[in-house]
Order: sequence, then structure tokens, then C-alpha cells
Amino acid sequence: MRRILFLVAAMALIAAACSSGSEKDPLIGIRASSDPAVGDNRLLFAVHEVDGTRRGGPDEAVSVVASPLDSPDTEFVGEATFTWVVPDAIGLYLVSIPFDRPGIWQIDFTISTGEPTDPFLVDIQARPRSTAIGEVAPLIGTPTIPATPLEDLTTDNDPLTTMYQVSLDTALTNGRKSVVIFATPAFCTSAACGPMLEQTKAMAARYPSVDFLHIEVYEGFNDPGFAPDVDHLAPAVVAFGLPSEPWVFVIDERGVVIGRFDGVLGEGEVEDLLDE
Amino acid sequence: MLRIVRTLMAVAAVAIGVSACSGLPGSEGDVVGIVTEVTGDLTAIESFVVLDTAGDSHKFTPVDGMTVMGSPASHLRDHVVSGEPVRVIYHKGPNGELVADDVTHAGDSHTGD
Repeated sequence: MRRILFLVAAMALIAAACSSGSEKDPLIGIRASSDPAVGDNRLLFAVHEVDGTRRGGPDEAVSVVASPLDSPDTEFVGEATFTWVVPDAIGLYLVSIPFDRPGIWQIDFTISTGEPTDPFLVDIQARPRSTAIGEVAPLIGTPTIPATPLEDLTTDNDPLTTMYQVSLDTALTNGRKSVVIFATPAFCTSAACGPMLEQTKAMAARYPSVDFLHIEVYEGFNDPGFAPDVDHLAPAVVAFGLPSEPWVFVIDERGVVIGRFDGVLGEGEVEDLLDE
Repeated sequence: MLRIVRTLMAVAAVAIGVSACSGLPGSEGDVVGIVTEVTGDLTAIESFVVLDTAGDSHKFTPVDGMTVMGSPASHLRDHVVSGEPVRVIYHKGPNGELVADDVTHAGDSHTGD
């Protein structure tokens, strides 16, 4: 009998070891920025319950305290803005933090509901995988209309033709500012492509002195047997070293990147750079 | 003799319980959860992390050519943004690392998005 009791107790212990969690688990933050680096000064993150349930919304205010792990006394405080990636469906928090040094940063956040939260870590790279702020943007020629039919240049159902009239290498050397969006509405690996492209198109109408270019992530998408794979990545996407999509780059009159934004555009982020 | 047999049975039962909890090298399994981290770029994903519904994190290396519902493995980044859970079918490599064989949207079949 004792052996049976021992066996039952052992199995109960194992079951307990296999499971975890409680009703009072704190909320967790998950970094959504795909290539955070010194100088980007923006952080996208999601808030989840520990069971994976997405939290957050316009009515749930979030405050952030960020500090490098190797210098915990250095703290930056910011109010995160809830930003819809897909309107009324998917949203993330966006906060501006002056990431002034590479390394692991701890992000503590509080939410207006008063629920407990766990801090999360972000590895800020000294240099990003993709073209960085302050670097000269890669001079890559991109196909344009009318030499290439518009339907072979974009998967956007309602394209703005002016975004396909100037090759990237021309735009970067013509002495005008440029806004370049890499997105593929039809084959997007992120639901954010369509909304971000629509935001960019709306801006184009307000800034006639700026070149707005849309570059599809994949080429040959109308070819028979096309697949959105590595073999079909557009040369400009490879040259910029994009880790994800969509991305918007703001480039100054000298062809130098002055802003880079992945996933979602916060209110005024691009406009502030164009107005300078 | 009977005592020895009972003892061996008890040890075997505990061993089975432990292996069911931790998995053995080469064994297969699946994990359902949200994607919390993706390392790599549009050309290749080096690793990704899934937080299961119990709050445990699992780091996976994708097997060569792994796709996500027919999309490139970089589609996993969409799940970081959307928070939509995934199901990862994996096996354990020789050093105990988790190698992802297939990823589907949790609750979906393999028929597409």
C-alpha cells in the first residue's frame, strides 16, 4: 500500500512540475519591432496575458520605463501609444525611447488597469541588420512604368501611379526627399502591409515635393508558378537587408536614411521628418 | 522476488512520467502558443520562440525549407504582430534542441490562411 501511495505521490509531483501558471499571472510584453538598434528610438510591443490572450487597446494606457541592464540607474520614461496595425482588429503599443547604447535593455511597463506586469528584455543592436539611420541608402534601380506594366509592379488593388514612376536610384540622387515603402499587399507575411501602404499613399498627396515609392517585396508575382519565397525577393529588398515587412524608409536630399519604421506608422512619425 | 518486480514497476512508471514531461532526444511533439521572438530575416529564419498556454517558452530552429502554411518561415513575424497562436510540430535533435518541422495556425487545418 505504501508503494502505491508513493507512486501516486510521485506522479502527482511530476504532473505539478509539468504544469505552471496561476490566475494571478502578470501581463507580459512582447517586442514586435523586428530590428531594433541604436538610433531607432522606437519600440513596438504587444501586451499579452500569459496564456497568450492579446491585451491592450486605446482605453488601456501603458507607461514604460526602459533601462540598460548594465546601467540600471539610467532610466528613460515614456508613454506608449496604442496604434492600430489593422484598424479595429490588431494593435500594438508604440513608445519612443532614446536607445543610445547597444546591449540588453529591460522594459518595465504598467497598465492603467492596475494589473501586475512582468518586464521584458530587448536586445538593442549597435548596428541593425537592415540599412540604418545615417547610412546612405543602397542605389538600386527599380522597374517603373511605362516600361513595365503597372500590374507587374504592384499587388495593390488601388495603386497610386506616381509611386511607380521613378526608379529608386533616381529618387535617391535627384536632390529631393524620398519615402520608400517595402510592402506586398497580396503576399504580405504581415497583416500590416496593406494599412501601412494606405497610410503612405495618403501622405503622398500631401507632400508633392517628396518622391514616394512603393517597392514590392517579391518580383515576378504574375509569373506562372510564382511563390513568395527567397528566390523571388526583389533586389532592393535584399540590398536593404530587410528582416521583415512592411518597412518605410525616409531618405533625405543626399540619399541618407533619416527614418526607418517597421510594421506600423505612428501619428506624425514620417510627417515630422518631412517637415524638417 | 515479488518485491523486486514491484519496485522495478514503480521505477519504470516514474521514468515514463518523466519522459512524458520532458521528452526524449529524437522524440516528436507539438506545442501550441504565441510567437514571441523571431531571429533572422526575409531570406532565412534562424530561430523562433513560442510561449505555450502554460507560460513556458520553447525555442525552435526551423528545419531546412520549413514553411508556414505555404508561406516563407518569415511569416512567423506576422504572428508576433497579430498574436495569433501557432502549432509547432517538432522533433528533438541529437543535442536536445527543438527542431521545428512544420508550423500551422493553431486550430486551422493545413489548407491555407
